[in-house]
Amino acid sequence: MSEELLADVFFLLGFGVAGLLLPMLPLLLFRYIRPQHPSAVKMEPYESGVVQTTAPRRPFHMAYYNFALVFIVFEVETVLLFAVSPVLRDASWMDLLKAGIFIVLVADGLFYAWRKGALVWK
Amino acid sequence: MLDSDVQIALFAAFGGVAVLAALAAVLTRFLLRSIVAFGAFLTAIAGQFYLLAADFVALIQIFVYVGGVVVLILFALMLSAVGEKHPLAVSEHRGLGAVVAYAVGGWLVWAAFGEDLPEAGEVPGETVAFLGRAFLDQQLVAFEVIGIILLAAVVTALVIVRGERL
Amino acid sequence: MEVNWPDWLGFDWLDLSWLELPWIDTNWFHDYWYGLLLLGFFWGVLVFTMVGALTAVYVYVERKVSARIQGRLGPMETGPHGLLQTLVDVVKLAVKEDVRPAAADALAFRLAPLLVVVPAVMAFVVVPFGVPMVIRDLNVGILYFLAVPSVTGVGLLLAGWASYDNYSFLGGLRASAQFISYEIPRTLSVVTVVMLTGSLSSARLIEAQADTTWFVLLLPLSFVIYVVTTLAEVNRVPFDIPEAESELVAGFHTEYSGFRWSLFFLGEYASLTTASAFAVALFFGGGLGPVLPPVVWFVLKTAVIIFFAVVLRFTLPRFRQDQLMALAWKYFLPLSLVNLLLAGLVMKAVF
Repeated sequence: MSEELLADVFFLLGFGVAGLLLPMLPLLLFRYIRPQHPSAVKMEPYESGVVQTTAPRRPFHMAYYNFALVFIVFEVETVLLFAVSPVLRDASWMDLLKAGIFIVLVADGLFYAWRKGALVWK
Repeated sequence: MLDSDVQIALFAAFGGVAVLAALAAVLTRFLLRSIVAFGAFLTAIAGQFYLLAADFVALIQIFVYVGGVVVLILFALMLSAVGEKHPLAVSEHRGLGAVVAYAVGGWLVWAAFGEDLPEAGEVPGETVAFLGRAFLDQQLVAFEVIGIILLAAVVTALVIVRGERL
Repeated sequence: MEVNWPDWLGFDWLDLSWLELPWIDTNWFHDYWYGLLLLGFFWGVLVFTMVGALTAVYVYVERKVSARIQGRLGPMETGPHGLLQTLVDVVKLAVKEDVRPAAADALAFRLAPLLVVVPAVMAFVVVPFGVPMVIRDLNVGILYFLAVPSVTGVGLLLAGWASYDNYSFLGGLRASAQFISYEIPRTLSVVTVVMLTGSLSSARLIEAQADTTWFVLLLPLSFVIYVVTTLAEVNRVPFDIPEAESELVAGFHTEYSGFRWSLFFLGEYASLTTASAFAVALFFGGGLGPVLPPVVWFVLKTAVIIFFAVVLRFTLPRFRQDQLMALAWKYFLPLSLVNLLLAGLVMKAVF
């Protein structure tokens, strides 16, 4: 059991190393074939030919953060459902009810966020 | 062979990566790199979980923490853009911070070497099914309370972020 | 320790016992840690090469299909019917200058494309492309398939931030906001399948469908949610507002050029491939089918889904950002919660 998991980790490590090396390989291989003529104008950010007037790293739109926060909460709930879902097939109606209560609690959160207008993009 | 020695060695290797990533997260002066290093740290911890036969927890670690919390922190950085420098690099309370850090760190080390750690139980054959069964039986109250806490989390998050009234 | 070898090749090609070499321990690849590491590496190289080759095929097909839909010819000059066009493009991209804006964060700029490509390719480990043939059948394979590609969200944000460009910045924010929004309904649609399978192993997924029937017949709503949200996850039309040419140039990869740009491209197509392949496994019984070998069935079914995505790209207009977020949170999330309850009833009815 534990040995199988250990084997999994080594396999995935090997796979990951291959996945990391292969995309980098052409970058390294063609390094000296590629033209390299950097110039001040070329290294400016591309903003449709206009010189950049505002810095991109400035305080911006909280709507994104709202969504990210609500997202984390729902993701935790989803993951808990993932843990419960495999045993539901052979479970009793009582067990389904227990999971159902959890889902209703999740839906409550969604309902609250909805009613408070947190899901509106502005 | 794949015996416990190999397992311990790999566990230690993940631990080493985790420590290095944690150091990088704390020591770098760039906030963005600090967050990326934090992500690497979480991934190494996920590897350790997997080795401890907690494969479900390991993947949750990646799913929720790397794919969720790190994204949230990145959003916070990008939307506030308070500065790209690491806040610790300009801390005004270095001395106090060091005392707190050493105290907490020392306490953790002391606890880790303590004698009263619980013994590891038998590893179930199907970890996820075991977990799911536990959520519906012995841990049912915890399971439903988590639901309520998460509901409270949504409400709180919106109250704090948007200045909503309940 | 069960390792699923491609039996359809007629021999266990990595298990060298058929050579009867006296000095090679046949179980070397799965008994020693370095053997496993090497085995993983081999598979990684194999899958990566395959995904790369497939991407070249898609690009050609996509150009031809778009040309057909728009009444053009598409690539015709290089090779017969322009067959060599993508090959030439690959060479061009590989030897093109690698421009990095002076203001960009060099480290994050280099890291971002890798964070998009590597998870997409790694997700392939658990795709069951036979009955039940998986590269590595993890105990928590289905969760692995959802968890590993979720790292892509970090890559998108990093790319946008590192470039120091307003278009990239906006594109990165939009892309990852969209990515995380659609992740929840997508995961919930997979949860319904797990309920019917009773396991998180992707090999069990196929066996469960062999025992009953294709899950698309039992859970049609889950399938619809999965397909639509997957299109959104891989930034395909109609969900490609993060890289809307008309307003954001190229979104988060505006500043990328040459091979680094093509890595984003590769990542997008790789995740389209794995997601479609997994859709086949989740809802269409993977390699199940009469007469033909499982792998052929699997490839055919996957090809149909990918072709659907390609045709869709040139048929639909794109959503606006607010419509996109509303669709995720106000339609798909409630729908998938209802779907969970529905799936519970279906499950009770079937088992």
